[in-house]
This record gives sequence, C-alpha cells and structure tokens, in this order.
Amino acid sequence: MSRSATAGELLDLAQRQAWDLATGLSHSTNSEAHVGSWPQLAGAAAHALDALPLSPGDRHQHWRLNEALAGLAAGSPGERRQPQLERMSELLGALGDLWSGEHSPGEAMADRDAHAAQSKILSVVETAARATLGRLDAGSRHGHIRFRRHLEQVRDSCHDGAVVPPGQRGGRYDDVAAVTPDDLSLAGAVQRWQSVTIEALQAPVSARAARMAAGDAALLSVSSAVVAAAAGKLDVVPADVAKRAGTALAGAGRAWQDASLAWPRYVQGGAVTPEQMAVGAELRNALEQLTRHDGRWATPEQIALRAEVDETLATLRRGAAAVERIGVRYEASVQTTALGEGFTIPARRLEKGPQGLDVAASRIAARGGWVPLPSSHSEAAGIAAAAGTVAIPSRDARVAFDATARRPEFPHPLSRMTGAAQRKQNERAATTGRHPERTRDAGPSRA
Amino acid sequence: MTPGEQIARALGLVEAAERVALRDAAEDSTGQLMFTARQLLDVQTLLEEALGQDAEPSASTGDLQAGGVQELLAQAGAVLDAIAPEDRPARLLPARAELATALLAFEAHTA
Repeated sequence: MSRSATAGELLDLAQRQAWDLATGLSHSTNSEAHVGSWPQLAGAAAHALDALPLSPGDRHQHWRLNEALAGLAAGSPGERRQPQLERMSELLGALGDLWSGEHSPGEAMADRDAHAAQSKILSVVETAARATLGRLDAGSRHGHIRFRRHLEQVRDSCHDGAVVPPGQRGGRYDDVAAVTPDDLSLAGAVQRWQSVTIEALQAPVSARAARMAAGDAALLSVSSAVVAAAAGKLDVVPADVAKRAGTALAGAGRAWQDASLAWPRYVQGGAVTPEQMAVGAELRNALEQLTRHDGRWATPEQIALRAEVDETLATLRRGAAAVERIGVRYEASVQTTALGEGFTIPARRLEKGPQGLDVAASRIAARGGWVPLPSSHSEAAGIAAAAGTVAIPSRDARVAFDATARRPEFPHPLSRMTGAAQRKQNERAATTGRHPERTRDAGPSRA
Repeated sequence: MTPGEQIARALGLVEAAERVALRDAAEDSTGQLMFTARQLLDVQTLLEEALGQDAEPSASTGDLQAGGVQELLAQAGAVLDAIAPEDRPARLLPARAELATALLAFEAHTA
C-alpha cells in the first residue's frame, strides 16, 4: 500500500532538484525557460513559507523576500519551463498544501523544526535564484532588468534568512540594502557598498571581509579606469586628463589585487555578513552592466549608449573617494587586527621556537585546531605591511580622477593640459559661445 | 574523506582558482579574470557557511600549480558532487550553484 510523502521527504526531493539544477547549469542553455518557470516557483515558495507555523515576528522579517516573490509571481509563465525549476515548484507547492492542512500547526511543528524547514526552503530558493542569475549572466546582461532585480532580492533575502539567526535579522541591513526593483542606479550601488564596507572593516576585521572589500575596490577602480578612458576618447574630458586618471585608477586596482593576493592562504578570522555579500554582488552587477560586453570591456561607444558618460564619471568619482576612504580604513583595521592577534591560523602553522611548540599549542595542533595568529609571527607582519600598500595609490587615483571634473583652463596642479586639448577647449567655447567659467561643474576659483 | 573534509578540499580548489585568476588578471586585457576572482570569493564564503567553521584551504598546497581556473573549478565541482545527497548540508546547495555560475560565466566569456 502506498503512503503519502512526508514533508521531510518532499524537502529532500526539493533539495535534490536544486542540486541537479546547479550541476546541470552548463547544459541548461535556455535562459527563457528559466525565466518562464519563476512565476510558478515564486508562488509556490511563498505558499510554502506562508504555511510554516512561524511567529508573526519571524514572518515579518521576510517582508523583502515576500515582496520580491510577489513581483516574480506576477510575471507571465513561459511556454517553456526549466524541468528542475518546474519540479521544485510542484514540491514547494505540495509542502505548502501539506502544512496548510494542519489543524494546529503550532502544535504539529515545534519552533525549532519550523525554523529548520524554513532554512531548507530558503536554501532551495536561493539556489534556484543563483542558478537562474548565472544562466542569465552567461548570455546577454542587458535584458529582464526588473526580473533580475527581483531575483537578486530573492537571492539576498534567502541568504540573509538562512544564515542569520532569527531575532538578529533586519535592522541595519534593511536600511542600507533595502533596494527596490526600481532602484537600478550605479550611484545607489556605490553608496550602499561604501556604507556597508566601511562598517565591515571595523577592527577586528574578518580576513574574508577584508579580502572581499579589496576585491570590490579593485573592480571599482579598474572599471572606473575603463570609463575614464572612454570619456577621453569621447571628448567628454580632455584626453590627457582622462589618460592620467585611467592610469592612476588602474594602478589603484592593481594595488588592491596585490593586497588581496598577499593574504596567506591559511589565515582566517571571522565571517562575511550577508549584507556585505549583497552589496558586493550589486556593485559587481552594476559595473558589469556598464562596462562589460561579451566578456570584454565595452567600447566607449557602447558605454555612451548605456549611460550619460558625464553623470557616470561623477558617480565613479564618488566611488573613487569611497575607495580612498576604504583604503585608509582597510589599512588601519587590518593592521590593528593583526597586531591585536585577531586572525587565526591552524596551530600546526605556528612558528616553532628552539624548543618547538609549547605543550598546549602542540595539543591543539594535534587536534587540527586553530589558534590566534601571534603578532610576532612573520605572517602577521606580512599582513600588516601589505595592508599599507593600498591607501596611497587609492588617494592618487582619486586625485587624478577628480581632475576630470575640473574646467580645463583651471587644471589640477597634477595635470597639465596639452596644447592640443587647450586648443580643443577654446574651439568648443567659441562654437558654443559659452565661456567655460559658466559651465555647471565649476572648479576652484582663481581669485 | 568526510563531507567536511570534502568541502574543505573544494574550498582549497576554489581558493586556488581565485588566486590563479588574480595572479593572471594583470595580463588579461579582457578584464574577465578580475570579475571571476571576485565571484570566487563569494563561492568561498558560501562554502565556509556550508562547513560551519573555519577551514584550512591550504590542504591543497599544490593546487596553484595544478591547472588553470577552469580545471580547478571543475575539480571543485567534482569533489562536491561526490558527497552523498544525504550528507550534504542544506547550505551547500547555494554554494554549489554559485560555483556552477562562476564556471559558466568563465567559460562563456573566455570561449
């Protein structure tokens, strides 16, 4: 005699579908089938989560997820569906029906079990969101903008909900990263990234958080260099000023990459917050939308078609100022943490004295345990020294990039306009009849 | 190997791939390696979440010389796929998906 599947079995099946979806991603070539599957999946996920016997407080903490799922559920189901996503929809829908059918759900499922089930559902839905976003990214990045935004919100909310204990969710992250699907601006992404990253770099800083900040700063600097070069080619700013800015920004990007590489592989310490991951992903996506085309840097003309170059330069100049501030914070926090023995290493990596490791350390090493990285350890000194290499190139990049905002006849002391650029500026003023002093982005007065 | 050791092994491979990508990024005129390296930091974070503790990725010291980004990521995927379904922590699912998307993006843009 057959019996009905239990909720646990349905959850297991949904997890296996999610795994198969991830592992088969490279063979699943139809992005539209992914997109067309989400209305049903989002509705089923909302149904399952809604049916869980959670407290009103826990339920309220899902408002961002609910909002995004509702946005996705409102889409038109596609004629073609991705098989695993479709099966996951059926399973989540069945789970919702099963839990809704309980007469006294609070008695049938303890709080702890409800949270465990919720965590599994969130992991499944997050996996589906990551897979679909990956599928979309592998194709053209320039479509389904609102859909993508909802999906990113699902990914980030699920991640937040699955890894942060109930009661600790919400708060700062809601203020900082509560992006709406309409908020698509690079400026917003830069602002949120700066705010969260500065916070994440409070000493004692986590090694992973520091490396993530370094990776983001490198991407922002190098992408800014590409836009600066484009602005020079498009005559938005004098070519020599753009070139100087581009070179300095690329140098800052390289410095951040080197700083990231300088971390020893086995030094750990702390984790990364979901909000830092979210703003990093948002920044990366915004930069890719602006500067990438088919796995290469976009041409100046392509960038100009996607955004107002002048306004984008202003946004990226604020980004360079953010990178500069983060460079200073990075240096101070990483050095403070290293000297304060806030990083950890495997005990077996401790430097041995003439008598070898002491007894306690030997025991920990034998167990494969971790210990604080002593400030006297050569790696601590190396980490502290490497952290000091980003602030100056970041400052130089910001200064050189700021020069792209100045009127050409009042060049920044670091920049000297070439005769050709000066002639071009004079010709432009004569053609427009507009004296450069009256342009809107005024530089410092000579008086 | 226990599932925890397998995840730590995959973490080591992804970490090695990230370092190879960063190391080679200076010579990469397309800029793709830099974006890939950054995405691989996310994969590592998700793997650590799945593991639930600090892991020593240097268990795979030879990985930096072992191959290119693509090979290292494919190996990491194979290591994770070898974990029995009933032994997979729930949080391994998003990590596996992010690893797959990183590999997919790398392949799509370097083809």
